[in-house]
Amino acid sequence: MGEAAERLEHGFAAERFAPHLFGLRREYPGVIAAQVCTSDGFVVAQAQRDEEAGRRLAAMVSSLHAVGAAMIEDLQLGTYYHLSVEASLGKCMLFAVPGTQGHLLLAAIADSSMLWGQLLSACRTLNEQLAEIAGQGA
Amino acid sequence: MAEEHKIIFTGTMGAGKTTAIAAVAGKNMLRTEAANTDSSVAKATTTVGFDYGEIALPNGSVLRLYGTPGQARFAFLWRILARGALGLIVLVDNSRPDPLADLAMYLDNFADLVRRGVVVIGVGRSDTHPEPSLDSYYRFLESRQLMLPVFEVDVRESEHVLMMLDVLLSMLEMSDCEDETHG
Ligand SMILES: Nc1nc2c(ncn2[C@@H]2O[C@H](COP(=O)(O)OP(=O)(O)O)[C@@H](O)[C@H]2O)c(=O)[nH]1
Ligand SMILES: [Mg+2]
Repeated sequence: MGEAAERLEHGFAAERFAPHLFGLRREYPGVIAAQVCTSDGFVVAQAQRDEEAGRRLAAMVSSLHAVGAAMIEDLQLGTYYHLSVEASLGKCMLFAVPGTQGHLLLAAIADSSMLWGQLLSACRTLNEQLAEIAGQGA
Repeated sequence: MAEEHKIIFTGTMGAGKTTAIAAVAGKNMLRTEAANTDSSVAKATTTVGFDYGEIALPNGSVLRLYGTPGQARFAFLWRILARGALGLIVLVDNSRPDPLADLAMYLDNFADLVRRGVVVIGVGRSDTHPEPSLDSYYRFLESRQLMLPVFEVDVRESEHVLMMLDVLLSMLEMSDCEDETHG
């Protein structure tokens, strides 16, 4: 499993994620940041300029995801798909990228101009694209 | 005395926080492990959220044990987990390049608990890595005007973990008494 994560991290798959992340931002100006990170909190690809902010986000995303997934497991609610956090000035959504054995996560942050359902459906579409790339490997 | 004690286990990645909690809290433990992609540490998984386990004490109170992630990128969680904690166990891995610097980093980051003096230090892997010795640890703590107990432990042994918790609980009782006498 370490091997798969390594391939995803270092292979060209990582570079192929970025255009899709930037694509989300282009299509939806309300999206402030989008990122693919490992489940242990390292950035794989991101569509945001501030690298330090990206690293902080990856650590938080991995933690939140893990706590969310542990809760779903504890409640026996089946397969974890996504977690969303909404606030007065914006919202975040975290997804497990399908087909990566939980190794890769997608996170998107949007301001309040973007509707919750809009972000959800845009992220789902993006997540399918990412899953396809991850599946193709290096 | 409080009915529930929240106790934190911290220390570097691989020091044995998750192992320690599993050793005493058993099956019902909550884990948040992720596959480790940091090749500098030979470990299949790493805690990215927190570990949680409970121990019921004979007197009816409950110990709530929380294990933190070790890596500094999770420092934001250290602060969250420390809220309302009554005591801290810092696990140090003596096989690392500079275990005293590791210890210093966690003492700095859990300064409130350190100031209250409710901290126990467990040094692991001292069988294969005897240096720094317990003496060095005590001198190091003295240089920081700290009087905290330090033990050589193997956290895979539940008795070792229970011993540290025992010591921590008696320290908590003592600090409770001091609070009462000094208002
Ligand atoms: N040889 C040896 N292994 C230890 C000792 N203490 C802990 N370990 C092992 O070190 C690893 C610690 O992993 P873990 O508990 O996940 O560390 P964490 O990152 O602090 O949660 C486990 O595989 C333990 O079995 C020790 O004193 N000697
Ligand atoms: Mg751990």
